[in-house]
Amino acid sequence: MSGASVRRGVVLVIDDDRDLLEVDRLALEAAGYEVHTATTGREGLALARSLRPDVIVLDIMMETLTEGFDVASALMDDPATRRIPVIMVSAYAQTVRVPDKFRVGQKRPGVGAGPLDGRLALATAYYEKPVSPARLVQIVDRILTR
Amino acid sequence: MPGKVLVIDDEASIRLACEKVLTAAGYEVEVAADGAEGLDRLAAGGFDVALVDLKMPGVDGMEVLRRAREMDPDLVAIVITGYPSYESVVEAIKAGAYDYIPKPFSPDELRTVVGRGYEKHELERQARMLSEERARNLATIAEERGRLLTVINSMADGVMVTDREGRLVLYNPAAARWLAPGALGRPLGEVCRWTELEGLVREVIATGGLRSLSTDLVCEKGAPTFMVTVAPVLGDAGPAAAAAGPGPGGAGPDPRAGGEVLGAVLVLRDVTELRLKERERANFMAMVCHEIRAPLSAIAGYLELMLQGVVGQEAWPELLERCRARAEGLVALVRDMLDLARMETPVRQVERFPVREVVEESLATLAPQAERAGVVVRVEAPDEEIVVSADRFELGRVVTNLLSNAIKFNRPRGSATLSWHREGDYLVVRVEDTGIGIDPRHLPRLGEEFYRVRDEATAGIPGSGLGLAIVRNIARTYHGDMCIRSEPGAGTTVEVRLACSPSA
Repeated sequence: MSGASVRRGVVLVIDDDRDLLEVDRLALEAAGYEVHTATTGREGLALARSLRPDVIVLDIMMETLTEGFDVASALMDDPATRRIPVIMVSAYAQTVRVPDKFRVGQKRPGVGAGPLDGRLALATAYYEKPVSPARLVQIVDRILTR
Repeated sequence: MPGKVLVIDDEASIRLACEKVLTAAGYEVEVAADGAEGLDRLAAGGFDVALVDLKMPGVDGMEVLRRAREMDPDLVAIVITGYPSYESVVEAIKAGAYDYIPKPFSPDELRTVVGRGYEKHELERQARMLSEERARNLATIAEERGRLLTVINSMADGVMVTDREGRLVLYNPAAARWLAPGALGRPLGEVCRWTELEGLVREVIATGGLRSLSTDLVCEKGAPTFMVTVAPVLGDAGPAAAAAGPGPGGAGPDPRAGGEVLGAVLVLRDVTELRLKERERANFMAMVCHEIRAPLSAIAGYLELMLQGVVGQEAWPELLERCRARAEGLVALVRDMLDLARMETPVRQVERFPVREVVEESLATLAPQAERAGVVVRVEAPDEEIVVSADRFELGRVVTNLLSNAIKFNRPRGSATLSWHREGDYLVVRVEDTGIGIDPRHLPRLGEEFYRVRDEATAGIPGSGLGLAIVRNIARTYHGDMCIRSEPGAGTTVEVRLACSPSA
């Protein structure tokens, strides 16, 4: 559990699969992050507003096929959360079209897009599941050490 | 085949002479001694030429001529007359005679006159055959055109044909609904509700008929989807084109074989159902991928955490248990998908058996699950033993899936109650639970493949979202239905009705 004692930042993980939440939580905590979890978009939005986490890891398909996109939009529209980088992950096959405004991360995976547009202060990155725990830690590290 | 001649004369010497001369000349000869006998023989048919004596007792020659003509208009009649007068010859020819021969006549004269008559008969016969054959061919062509039109007109697909300039030259009734009245001869772009068709036709003609185009037409939302195929109409390219068969586009002859582009043929097909099915299948596949990826991600994630020492060994048993649960979920998913696939090509084995047998099997399977969840399963069997005609596997799947849901979406120390009874031709299976219940807004969609209630209460509950879809499909197979009543927080009751001839 190297670095577990270091408080490197606060990460909010939103996913309706409790096991995936648990995997992410264990990995990020071991890397020294403070981790909060939510199993629905609604719960996640509320936590994002109250906690102001440093990074949000967001599952796309929860109660609806594209709930994650709705959550991301709501985060963007709220001045309190619009600057929080969001890492989107989905186990859903490519049949769900990723809205263009979330596509920045496709070109520069894992890299914040803050200067591009106020709305895209989200360091939006989009990943297909499975993202291994080590890879997730790496992505979060990179976003937060910039 | 030799010519066949009938000699009708009351003078035996003439008959004999004629028979002798004509037989020697290669004819087949029959004789008749008077008019009545002659007509009898003619009625039997098969004669090319008849020699008729004008002056006979009884039925005279004129009468024979008239009646013979009625019987066989092609028969060549030659009159024999002892006193050839202008009047009698004219009268005979009016009555249908072809020629005459005066008595007495030499064998040469007889041969010449009969030969001429026979030749005329042959020529007429051949001419008639030729004209009949031509008439038959014309009838065939007319019939084929009619048949082709009938085929085109009865097609469900809309068919339109344009000339090189894109003017409409032919369309069938199915296409008429998209065309303005009086569309024939006018540019397609002016008369058709799909204005893009004109451009497609121009494109196909511009390529010199080298290719066909196929595309879905822009339709209003909710309206049927139509696909159009535009193929060139090619002129006569000779046998090479016919031998080349269909072109690479699949429609029309292969233009590589040559031929001039005369226009374009457009076939419009309703592909609404097809596109819907394609979308459903794509969605289904995407859901399957999601349902497989999620547990695999969880298992792979846990294993990596353990293998890389991110979590200490003291936490392993719990994580391994989660891996096992997710692996079990995958196994169940595959089983459910196979069940669904089985529905599509049913291999049903219907037999008569008591419902109780299937119930007992299901209970045995589910006992460990119920025990883990701390849910009590009650069975309220009817007083009478109910025997049904059904596939054991299918009825078992209904009972197992309903009970499994009642256990999964329950609470510790809750209960699931299974009962069944007869309602006429229907067996009714009911499962009632004291579980978390279902928000009414989800009820209409439960039973759809992969539809699950996804909220805080269900987040930890494994399942493929196929269980109820399978139950619903089975119910439909048995002309029945599935009915769900629920009160959130209090419990859910699912009733399935199956027409399977239940009897005590």
